[in-house]
Amino acid sequence: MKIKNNIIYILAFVLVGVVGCEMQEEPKFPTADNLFSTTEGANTVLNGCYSGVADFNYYGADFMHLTYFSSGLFTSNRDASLTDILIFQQTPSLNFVENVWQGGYRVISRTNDVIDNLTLVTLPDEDEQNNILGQAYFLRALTYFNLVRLYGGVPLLTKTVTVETLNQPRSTVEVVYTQIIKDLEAAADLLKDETTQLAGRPASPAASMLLAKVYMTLAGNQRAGQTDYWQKAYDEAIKVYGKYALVGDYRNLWIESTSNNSVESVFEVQSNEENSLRLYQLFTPSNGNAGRSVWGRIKPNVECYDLHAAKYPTDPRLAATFLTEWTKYAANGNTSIIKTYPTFKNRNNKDKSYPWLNKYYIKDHTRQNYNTNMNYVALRYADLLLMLAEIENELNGPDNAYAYVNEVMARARQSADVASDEPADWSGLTQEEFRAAIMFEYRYELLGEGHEWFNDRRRGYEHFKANVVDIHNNTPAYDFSKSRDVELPDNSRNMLMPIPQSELTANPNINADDQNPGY
Amino acid sequence: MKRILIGITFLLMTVLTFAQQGRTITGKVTDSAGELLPGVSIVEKGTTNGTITDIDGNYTVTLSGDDATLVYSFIGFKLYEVPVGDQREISVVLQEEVTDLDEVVVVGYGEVRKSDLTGAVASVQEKEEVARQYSSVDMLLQGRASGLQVVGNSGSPGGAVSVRIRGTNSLRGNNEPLYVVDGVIISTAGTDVSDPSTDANEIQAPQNGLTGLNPRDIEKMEVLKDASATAIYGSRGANGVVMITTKSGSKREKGKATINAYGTAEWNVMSKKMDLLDGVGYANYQNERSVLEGFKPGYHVDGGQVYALTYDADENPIIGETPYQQVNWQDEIYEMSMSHNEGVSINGGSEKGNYYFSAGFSDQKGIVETTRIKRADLRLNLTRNLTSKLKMDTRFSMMYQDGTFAQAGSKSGGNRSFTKQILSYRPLIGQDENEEDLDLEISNPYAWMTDFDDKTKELRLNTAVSFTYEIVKGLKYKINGGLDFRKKDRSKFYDVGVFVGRKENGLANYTYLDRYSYVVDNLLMYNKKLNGIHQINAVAGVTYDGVSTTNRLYEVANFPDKSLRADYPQAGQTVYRPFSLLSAEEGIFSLLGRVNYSFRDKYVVTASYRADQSTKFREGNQWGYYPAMAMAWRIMEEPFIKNLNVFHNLKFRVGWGLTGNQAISPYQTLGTYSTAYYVDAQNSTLIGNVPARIPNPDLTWETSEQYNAGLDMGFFDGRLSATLDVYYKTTEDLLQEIELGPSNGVSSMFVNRGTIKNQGVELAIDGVVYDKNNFTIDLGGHISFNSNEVSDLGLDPTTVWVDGKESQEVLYYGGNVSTGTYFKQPANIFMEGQAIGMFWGWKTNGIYQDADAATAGPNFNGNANQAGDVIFVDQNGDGNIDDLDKTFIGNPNPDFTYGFSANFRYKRLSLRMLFDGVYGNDIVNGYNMELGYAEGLGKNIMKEAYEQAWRPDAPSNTYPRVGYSYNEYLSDRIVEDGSYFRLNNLTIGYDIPMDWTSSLSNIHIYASGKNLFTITDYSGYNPQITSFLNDGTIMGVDWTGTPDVQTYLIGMNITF
Repeated sequence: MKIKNNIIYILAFVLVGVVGCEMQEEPKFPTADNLFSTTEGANTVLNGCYSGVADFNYYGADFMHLTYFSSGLFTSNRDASLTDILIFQQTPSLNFVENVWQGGYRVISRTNDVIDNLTLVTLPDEDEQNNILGQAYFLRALTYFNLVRLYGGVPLLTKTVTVETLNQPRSTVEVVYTQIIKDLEAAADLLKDETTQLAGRPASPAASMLLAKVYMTLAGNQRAGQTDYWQKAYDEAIKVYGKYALVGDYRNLWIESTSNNSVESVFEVQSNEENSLRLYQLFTPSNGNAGRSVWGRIKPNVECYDLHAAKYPTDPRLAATFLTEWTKYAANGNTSIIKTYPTFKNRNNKDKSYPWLNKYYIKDHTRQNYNTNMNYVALRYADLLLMLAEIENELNGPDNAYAYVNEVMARARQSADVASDEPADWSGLTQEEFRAAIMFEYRYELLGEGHEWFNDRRRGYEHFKANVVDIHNNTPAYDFSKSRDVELPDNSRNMLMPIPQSELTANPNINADDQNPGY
Repeated sequence: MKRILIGITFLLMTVLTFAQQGRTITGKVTDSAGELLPGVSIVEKGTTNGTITDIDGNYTVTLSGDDATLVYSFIGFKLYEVPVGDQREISVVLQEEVTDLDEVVVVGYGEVRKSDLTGAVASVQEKEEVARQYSSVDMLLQGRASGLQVVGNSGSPGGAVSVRIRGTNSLRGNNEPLYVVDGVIISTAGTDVSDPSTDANEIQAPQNGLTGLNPRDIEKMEVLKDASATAIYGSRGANGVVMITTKSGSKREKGKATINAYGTAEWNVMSKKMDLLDGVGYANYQNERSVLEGFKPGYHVDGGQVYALTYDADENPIIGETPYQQVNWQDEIYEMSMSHNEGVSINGGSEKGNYYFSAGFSDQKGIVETTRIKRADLRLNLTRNLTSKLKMDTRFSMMYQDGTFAQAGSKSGGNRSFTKQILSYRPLIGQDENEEDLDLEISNPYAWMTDFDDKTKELRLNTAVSFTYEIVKGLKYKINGGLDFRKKDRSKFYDVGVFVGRKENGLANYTYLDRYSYVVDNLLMYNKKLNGIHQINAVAGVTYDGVSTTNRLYEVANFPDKSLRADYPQAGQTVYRPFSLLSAEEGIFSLLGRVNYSFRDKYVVTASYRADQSTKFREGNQWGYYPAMAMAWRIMEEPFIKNLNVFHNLKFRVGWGLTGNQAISPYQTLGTYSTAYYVDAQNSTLIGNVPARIPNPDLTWETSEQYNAGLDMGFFDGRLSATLDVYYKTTEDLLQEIELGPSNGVSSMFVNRGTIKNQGVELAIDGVVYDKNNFTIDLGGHISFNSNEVSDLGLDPTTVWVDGKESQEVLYYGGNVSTGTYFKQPANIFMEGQAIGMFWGWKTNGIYQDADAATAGPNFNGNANQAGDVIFVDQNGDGNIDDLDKTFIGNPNPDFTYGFSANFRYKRLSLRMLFDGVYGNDIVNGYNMELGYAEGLGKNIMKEAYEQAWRPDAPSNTYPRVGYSYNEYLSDRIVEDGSYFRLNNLTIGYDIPMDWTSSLSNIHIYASGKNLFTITDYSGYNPQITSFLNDGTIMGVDWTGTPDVQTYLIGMNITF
């Protein structure tokens, strides 16, 4: 009987022991309660937002895949499978169409989380709390601005998604822009100024510059008399004037030792070797370094070179922008020098028929892999000067606009070992001529920096057709009987990307009827 | 009965004559309870000389030969043999032969007499020499029981296997049954180490989680299929339960041990190759494409040889001096492999207890030279009667394996998969590496052999200790503690020869799993027959089950010195994934009880109940309750049936029960964060935190309700038996990881949503067809029909077009098959009123033969067609092929699965055959999305796709033009019939006559063939699709599965 008693004790013990166990989960992962109790913790969540911006699907690579290939200004070095998007035949399930959307919304959900949580608490360091909030608003606005320009009216989510708020329908373009303006106004308010902001992070003027771009986009091809957006754009852009400066030598913007977080940088996506931006792989050919390990997917079209060279034959920016001679590594380690267009005129050679974009070319070609510390500059001051010139020209004509653009011209001339006489200062243009010229000037100054898809389209399809499609199709260098060269179609659907297939598939509130026209 | 008959036959056929010797042996025969057995037949083996025991169980026999062996046989007891040696007195304990009806069947937390069984339970028991041929338990189950569908690929050793009982129960992904080994739950069939890769396009090939249990050691398996049988496992019973009992020692006189040693050697050969372009065909294809694109051809073909063709500055052709070497990569890479397997077991016992020990070693090689698994395992099962009332039972097993799984390659399935690249790499050697390879993310198949490692080391310990104390007669208390420990290390290294290693200058990643699961059961068991008419078998218990999992991950790249490969991660300069630790705890606390009551052995009622509390859900949703009821009527016992003299057994069963499913990852109800990285202005890495998921606080159990009715029949003294079951099962509140629109910020989340139904019929027949003149034929077969339907999804309807008609349907889509260029879309649709996971894509109607037809046809996503393009059917007639034109193009669910066995025995020779098959399912052949189109890339393709491609001068309605590139989408062009019929196993065995030795009691030699033939129309490597076994959102898609093999095996088994 003693044993029986013992067994009962054991049973009772085990039972009590088990029931006493905590049957609640205690995960060994960070939670919102912990993270948002200090500014340090909140900053790590903000870092998470930035990592989304730097992600492969966003500025890391796919944003370039999507916007460069379909810009009409770039070509693919890939043989067959990328030619569809070059001639605007992107389908809703194309990787890049999907990934940019997905990458964008990842950033939006992360910024929503920061904004939701930080608006609930008051942390001891309120300035820093505001600065974090401001950055979250800035990133959210930037991302919605990219999405609305690429895809049109997108689902507008400004709160953390819960089970109840899953799968929102498309909002109108107007509603999305209203939110973007609201966010950027908040960001400009909350962010530290450029003198106190941490290096590498956007300061208050960055929000103003972005807001100016928003108003310029909303102004479209309307004249100052028809819309007040030019005035609004001016009010924002002028806040930024003088807050940053141009670096002395244009070439230094594209050299690893000098390019990062320069005085000219307004907003820059940070990178190091462990967390390298993949975009450098896109612009360096696979056999362009010792590691033979990159992709070399994107090259500028020949008319980009031709137009620039015709306008400013001795512009030092030409050499900084285009790489027309490069070192090719063979599998056995031997190297050879490859000369491309414009030296090579034939249209049948993959390596030679187009120049490379020098800006993101990995210049140390002895490297074994593609990792780099080089950042990506999403907004820089030269752009602001060109914007101010364009706005001023729209509002008041060229008289006061020259000063802005000529700052850029002066720096360009100095960007050579021996200062060049090109590009000369602008003068004596009509408002119309100035307008036409400035739209090309964006291309010369900023080619390959992620703006052309938007700049060429914001004035409407006719502008796009005349300045991109027609120019391309009439470039004499091309031989459209060779598949290396493609003729661009006259197809206005390319003003927007299709809504991605996965959204149509998985979101019951967006279906094929809601697809953008033409897809 | 069957075995006795075989035994007697066996006895009779060894009749040989020997010289008289005249030695006399005496002894006593008792049963295991010590009762004396009168009338036992004792025969000197190989002679007709013999006697029977008297009323007191005593016997005396005079031997006729020198090296005699005595054979004891008695109805109802197992045949027993003793080599006499120089003994004078031999007393023997005979073990009861368990007959059909008195056989004890293991059920959850106890066992019942087979006659008292009320649920649908299939028993699987396989001959040792056959069981040993399988390296995992799940593969052994294939084709051997009704209601079970096992999918695995013997061509990739150590690869994942899927077992489904009675169809798809859950859309959550893991439909694996619960495995219970000697009472301890081992629910890891679908688990594997976490993926350490930071590259979104790299997915490691899954491996089998059901390691550490050697089929050799299995006494028998019971497959619990209906809810009345599985509800005792409550929240983990919904997918069915496989109860595995490992072997125990058996008693022999004087505690003598039985020693058994075996060895096998096997050869694997690839069973099917694909018909791709050879070197000349490939050169022609590339040249045709170049010309079509406006370029000059790059190859010169002459006299069956291919030469490089280049051009000088004036565009004059230069023909290479030496021809390229032409190669068929499938012949080059896949080769016959040889594996071997050895082991020994020792068992014995006495009144005090018994023991079973076994140890084994196997060295398995794959058909790719670098695939190899070495495995050693041992088991020790001990039972001991500590007092007359207290019994101890310990079971311990240990397994260690060291494997290289090169064959699965990298991202088994995508562009980067090894298997895929063997097919698509150009069949020419000798040209400078083409930079396009990098862009296409492909590598020379040779490089996979030299520049890729995927190494796994795994240690598995499985122990169970139980004490059973008999409080009073019939009432027992049992405490059972079990531990399943699994430690698995997997490392991969990519050297610069393969794409991933090239782009990273060498990359190594590591993943380590430590998983402990433990269980404590406290059970009170009552089993007694009262007044000879009331049999009560009851159990009540409290259990706690815990799982603690830790995963450690690391990834590093950029190795200046790669010589030490993954063995020296310190040599890597760029850390992609800093050391990461992911740990998770989960637990289930349960109360359970069951009563099985039998009245006059005629009417049987079972009721069971289990309440489970899980840590995975939040308060309010934590408890799940699982009742079950079942009844059986042994009609056989009714006089009006008995008098028919037709039936040996006739039993009608009916049951109902609820079971649950909670197998989601922990923490899904909580909003935790995971790690991401960013960089500061000084180029230092910053830690970032990102929301890991959209938390769903309302998550709860998925509940299955199942009805079952069954009929067990036996005829001709049990020589023919049949079991028929019908069932109807609904699963509600399905736990699903649903795909979300990417606008939600994450791509999926867990919800409870929807209802599915499964219903089916299972029939199993087993019989001794012939048993005369030393010749026996046993035949067995089973067939299972299952049909399922998505009955409710709880979503708003959307517009679809089916067969040209518009309708409003409630649906959602499955997961994207791939992350790459091809098949980045779902293959399956889950639509109310339809079978689960129907294929959803575009119907096609041949090829546009001319420009006019192409112009007249609908646009493709807004893009115009040209002659030679595929004709897609415009379901909604809007002149544009888009998502709205998708419709049903196939069904991945089979109409039925079946298997049958045939066993022949003639004297010492035996032949066993097992066939299995599946009928009526469709497969999406992912290979053909690329191989079936002359797209114009530098990759190789199917011969047919090039030769029969449409050309202006050679119209074809089967394959589109060279250069056609809208092939990355799912259409009915790649949907195929997946039915197959297969000879799973054929084993011929022979017992060598033992008259030449006295130290051995038996030598058995055998030869086997596995998978000797497969009859199927499926054009891929293997109609058993293993691509997405653990992902319920992708069904029936062959995304570059590995080749299948045929196995030839010889083996020997020696008993001392």
